Amino acid sequence: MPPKPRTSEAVTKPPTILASSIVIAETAALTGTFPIKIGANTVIHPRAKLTSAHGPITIGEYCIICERTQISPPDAEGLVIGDGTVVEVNALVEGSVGAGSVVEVGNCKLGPLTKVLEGEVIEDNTVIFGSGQRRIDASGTMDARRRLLERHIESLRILIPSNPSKFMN
Amino acid sequence: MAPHLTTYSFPTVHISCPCDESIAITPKSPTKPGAPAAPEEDLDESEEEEEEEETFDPRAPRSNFSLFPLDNLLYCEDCKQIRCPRCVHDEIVCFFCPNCLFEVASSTVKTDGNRCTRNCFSCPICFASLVVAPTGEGQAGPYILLCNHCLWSSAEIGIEFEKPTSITTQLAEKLKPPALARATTVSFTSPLSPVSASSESYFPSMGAPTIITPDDEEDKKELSPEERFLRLKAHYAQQRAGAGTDEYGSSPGALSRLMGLYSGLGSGSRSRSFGRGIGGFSNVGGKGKLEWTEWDTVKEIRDDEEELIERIKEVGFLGTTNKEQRIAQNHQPRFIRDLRPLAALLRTKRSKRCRACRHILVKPESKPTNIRFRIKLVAMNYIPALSISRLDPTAFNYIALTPLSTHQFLLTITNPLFDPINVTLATPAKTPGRYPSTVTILCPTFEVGANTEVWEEALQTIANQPAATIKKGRKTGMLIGTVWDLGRNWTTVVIEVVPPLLPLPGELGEDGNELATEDDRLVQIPVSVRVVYETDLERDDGGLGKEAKEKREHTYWSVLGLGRISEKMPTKTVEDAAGSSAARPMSLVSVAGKGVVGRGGAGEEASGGRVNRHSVR
Repeated sequence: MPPKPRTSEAVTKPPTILASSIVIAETAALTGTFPIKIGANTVIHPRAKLTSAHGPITIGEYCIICERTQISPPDAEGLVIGDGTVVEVNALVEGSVGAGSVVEVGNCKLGPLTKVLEGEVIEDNTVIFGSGQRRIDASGTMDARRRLLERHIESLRILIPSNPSKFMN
Repeated sequence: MAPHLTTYSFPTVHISCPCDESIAITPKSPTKPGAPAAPEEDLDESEEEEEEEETFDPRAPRSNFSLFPLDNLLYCEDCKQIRCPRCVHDEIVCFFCPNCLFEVASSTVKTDGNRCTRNCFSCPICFASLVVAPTGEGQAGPYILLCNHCLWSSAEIGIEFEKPTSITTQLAEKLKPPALARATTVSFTSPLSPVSASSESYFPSMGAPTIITPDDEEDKKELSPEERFLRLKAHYAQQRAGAGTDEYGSSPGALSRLMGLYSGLGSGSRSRSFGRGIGGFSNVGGKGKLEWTEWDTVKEIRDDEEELIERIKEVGFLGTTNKEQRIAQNHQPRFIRDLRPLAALLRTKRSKRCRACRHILVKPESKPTNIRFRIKLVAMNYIPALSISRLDPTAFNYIALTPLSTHQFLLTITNPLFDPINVTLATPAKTPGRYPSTVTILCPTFEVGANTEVWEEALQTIANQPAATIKKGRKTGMLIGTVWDLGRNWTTVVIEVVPPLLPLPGELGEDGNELATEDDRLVQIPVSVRVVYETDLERDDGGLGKEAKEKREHTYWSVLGLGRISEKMPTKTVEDAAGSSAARPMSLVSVAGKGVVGRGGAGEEASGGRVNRHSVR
């Protein structure tokens, strides 16, 4: 028996608005029907999954979306990831994330709180680390961290071969 | 299934170190190192044993401390004995910082403490290591300590550094409380005697324990450890100056004060504040006696600390420290804001010595960056390794063994030595414990090949291959006295286990205790492994004499953790299986009657009752 042809929904490219200076790996997966907007200087690692099947995704500037993360808005209101956010390996994001935050999950499946659940809004400068521990960074060193992040993105720019044309339409 | 069952990992093989008998100063004879831990009263049948060995009981309370996995054990070549972590002696080779790998001299450790004095700090929130990050434009200062994991930074507690080097000194300068800076100039008042008047007036009689009462003002104010240290230091300097040339202070006052320091800890007349300040003590007994308490006890808020409660209201639950964060800090802060960066704890490299003969068993290279060992006498290189698996490869469920049905396990013995070994396995027919399992080793005596180089076997001519003549049970079916399978330096034999039927959990006996505890459900089989081999005699000049062979023998007890007995009653199918093999236990009766299977008893068993007991294929 020949393999079943894939449903056409899975292969439809979502409408994307990509800034020219982004780094997006070829193996990243952008699926869905709602628009996906990615701001300038953002890095999408290989095998990151952005699914806009239920709502639009907006990612700000200077973000890093690491591999195996899943970003999927739960409803048509969509999901916004603010500027300077780092979403680390294996995180699941279903709610909006404020600017300058880090969503960092080592072992996403284990800790139930390591997920950013549906409709949840993470405030600016929140850090989610360890097994679901959260804290709001109050040190006022945002500028310093932003500079570190920019250097991080510059180094990733060299390391990750970018292919934005694959996701253009 | 109950969630705690998932914590089991079966099968396990533990080896008993004989050191719980005693650490012999003179090495015991290698022929009899067997370690009976607890006497077994029902062991009256050991007629074939001239050396009366008792069965090792894995459930005896002392066995807990003598059982180790093989990879935790060392081996002393001089005593010819296993050495466990309890019977080796540790010696520190060097101290080093795990963060910067800088070696710290032991004299520096004594003076500066066991923490890195360079730029190594760990995060007070998540204990990851901190990096020095610039906050100014470009790479310019001021600098902060930043945690890359949880983004905590020293700016959160208001600390920034002017330069990126010698952070420790800068931090110490910044953390110095203003009170301390003031105190260095003002003359000290001792915490022991707040009014440093003539000390004799405080200590009227020499013999009686002294009541030391700091005034209440002093009591209320919590001193920082640094302050306390400086105060004490100055106090003793003052006392020494007062004592004049005599170092030990011949004046009665000085002496009684010193006595009071120690005796006071036990006497009821001790002041509360002093003990509390030390941190290890607290006065919770109520009788005025100081008691040792754990660091991680609940830190109470007393009635007079209302401002603390106000502060907690202000910062909320998230602003308070958790237990780990609190006890890692010297001053045990209650609030996140009071946390300090933790200087990295130094680590050590250690060498290990045999306690009996003082020979070195493990000696690492002294440089922290070098991970090699100069001497490493691990037991794995001297003692045959045991491993367990199920005979039926599809049955991998070790945590629910069906009661009253026969389970077959494969026991593989791997030889690490360069000489072939003769192995004799012995096990009690019934395992020790209230609910004994029946155990049979089908082939208790066999040979395991030498651990030669892998290519050597290939180079050997086909003519002298002894392995081919040995019958393998794998091919012929399960026969008594036949090994299951064998290879270059390993041999596999079959063990049959019939677990007992246990009362259900929750079933209580007459005395109200549970009839079968969780511990009774574990099938633990003590197996005595006796290894005999001939090796080239080591001559005095260090060379090996080719003609002189020396016979060596080594015996040790190991405990096989085969699994856990299921709570489920045996089902019909299992009964069928037991019924079909009803003849088998009959043939085993003679063996079982001997109590210890395998000590010589298996020879005639093999010749007399060579029945195809259970053919698998």
